[in-house]
Amino acid sequence: MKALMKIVLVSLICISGCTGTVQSVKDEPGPAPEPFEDFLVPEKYNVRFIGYDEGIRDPQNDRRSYYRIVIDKSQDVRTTTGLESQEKVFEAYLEPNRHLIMVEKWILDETEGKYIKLNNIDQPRPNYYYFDVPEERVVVITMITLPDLTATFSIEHARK
Amino acid sequence: MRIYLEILFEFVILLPGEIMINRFHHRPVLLIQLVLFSMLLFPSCSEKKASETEPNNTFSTANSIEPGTAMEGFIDSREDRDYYIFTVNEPGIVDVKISGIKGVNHSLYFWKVDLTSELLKIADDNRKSSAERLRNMYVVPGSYCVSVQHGERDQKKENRETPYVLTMETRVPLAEELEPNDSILAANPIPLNSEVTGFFSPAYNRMNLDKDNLYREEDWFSFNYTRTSEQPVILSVGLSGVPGINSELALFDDQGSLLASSDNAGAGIEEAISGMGITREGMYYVRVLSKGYTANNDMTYILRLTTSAYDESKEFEVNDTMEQANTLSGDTISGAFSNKDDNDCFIFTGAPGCYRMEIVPGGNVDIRAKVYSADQMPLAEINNCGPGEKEVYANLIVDTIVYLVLSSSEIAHDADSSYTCRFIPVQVPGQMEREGNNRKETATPVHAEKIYGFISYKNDRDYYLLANNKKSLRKIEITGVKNGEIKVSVTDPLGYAVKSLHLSGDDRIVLTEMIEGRGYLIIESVKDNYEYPYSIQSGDGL
Repeated sequence: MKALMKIVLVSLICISGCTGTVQSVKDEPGPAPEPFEDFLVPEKYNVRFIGYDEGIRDPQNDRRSYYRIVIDKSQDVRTTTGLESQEKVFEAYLEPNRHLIMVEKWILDETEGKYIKLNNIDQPRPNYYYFDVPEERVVVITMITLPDLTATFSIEHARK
Repeated sequence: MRIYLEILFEFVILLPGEIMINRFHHRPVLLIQLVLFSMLLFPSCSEKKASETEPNNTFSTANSIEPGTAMEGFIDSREDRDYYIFTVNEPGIVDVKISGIKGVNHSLYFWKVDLTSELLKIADDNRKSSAERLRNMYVVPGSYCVSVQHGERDQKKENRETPYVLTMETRVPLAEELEPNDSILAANPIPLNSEVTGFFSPAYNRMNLDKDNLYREEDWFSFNYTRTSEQPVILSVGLSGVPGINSELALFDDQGSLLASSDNAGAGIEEAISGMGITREGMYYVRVLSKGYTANNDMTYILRLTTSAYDESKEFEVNDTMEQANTLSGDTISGAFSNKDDNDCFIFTGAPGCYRMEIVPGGNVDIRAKVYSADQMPLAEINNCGPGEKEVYANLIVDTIVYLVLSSSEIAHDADSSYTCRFIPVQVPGQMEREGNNRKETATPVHAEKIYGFISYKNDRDYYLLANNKKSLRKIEITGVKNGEIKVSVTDPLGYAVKSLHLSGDDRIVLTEMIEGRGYLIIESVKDNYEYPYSIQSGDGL
């Protein structure tokens, strides 16, 4: 019984020793915060939306397109036009706050001579994204649509 | 005998039906006797006819015939030809006719004979049992023959039971056609400002072997124009309508080139070539014909040639092509369409600027106007209104000259086809749209200055170029057309519409659009209004 007690005691001492090591690393100073000057300061815009498709291998399936973007259910704008595999861009200046964008994909119908909205079933999913716009930052939102129509959104702050 | 004479007296002088009925009611034999007696008493009432004497199958064996007499004959074999000869002592017109023979298609030949023979004309209408006639054969002192034989078309067969009757009349020619005048080389000379009559006869001219107009009977006339002043003379040619005849009238120069023609559809309708500007001295030719191998031996046509002095404010033909266009000396011109194929071309040389063009028809005619640039590129085609309504082109831009081509696709034969065209200078507080901008390649550039544009014609589509150095948002203010409706589209750099909206009346809208280096604004009409403009303003000043 005494022997068993010794083993437990030693184990607890060992475990407590390891924990202490981790805590000591955590307490050390982390990497230096990025200097304020490294971020791009907004001028004409503070939000940049980029959308494109990934996984298109056949040029026949690479259609001309653009994204209609509705910001906060009020502002109705669009990106540039381009092939689905190309980056299509929209830039705007929004008040620092939390915002919602909803995205709708439009495709060129050459016989009609105009762009037509893709059917809902062919639209990227999800088709919305919430994001924050802080002070003095340019927010870059990138939407990548995969062949299965799954859309992934990512956000970063533009740097110089 | 006495009783016969008494009854005859009553029959001729008194003729009361009641008396005759009473008198013959019980005596029908007496009536028959009366008829037979009358025939014996007045044998001269029936026409006196001579009969042919066979053989008369050659010129040398031809039977003599006197004008004013009738001659009976038979086509009594398949190869039978009957020749009749007559002599003319002074110039004249001969009207020669043969009656029909039941079941036989026969023909009539007219010859000039002396030491040799010359076939002048053939009448053969391709039908059985019908008469043949040559109405206006011109003869000069000498010997002539007419021959009767089978026609070309049907199987030749004799008829020994039914005779034909050949009749011939002569008269002194009085301002009438002189057959044969079937070609430009045989045209009858006529003076200007005169009338001449003729017949659409015979139906076929067997001597016309022109493959395009085989056997077509034509009458040709000529006149000589001698210039008396520097100004051209205006010629009008009119051809009266003849029942059953769908006629055609044409004017040629001395090279045989067609200058103008008139072909109003329908039988019995007159033809006219009006406002012809004659500038060059020389011979001119008029051709008259009937379409569809139709003839009328009973009623003459009347061909009139009249001239008038040149008027600078009036069109003069030939101005059917841009090379022949009349140059406008002022801002107004009037004219008329001679037929549905008539084009009236003008050159407008007004001071550079914008003009409102108005074309007012004199009658119930539907006018179409085509406008071309100085290099003869089409700018606009105006046919916005119906017959009798004014056509307007509100924004005609003139740099140096523009060509104007007027026409009308339908002209009723009795319609007033005249029109007046005016060019009215217009001042606008900005830039004016420039037509042919109906393609992106010819789009009107949009600058800071306000642009005014018009729905100039049906299905007009106006392209405007929105060009930036780089991708940027651009504000565009558009004001619609009063009393109209337009569709406004913004396109990508390739010209494909990314956004479209409708603008009713003179509503105003401001678009903020991403322009990727370049884009286009397209204005299309939804509800036409040609009087009021729309406007486009773009730039930071909005």
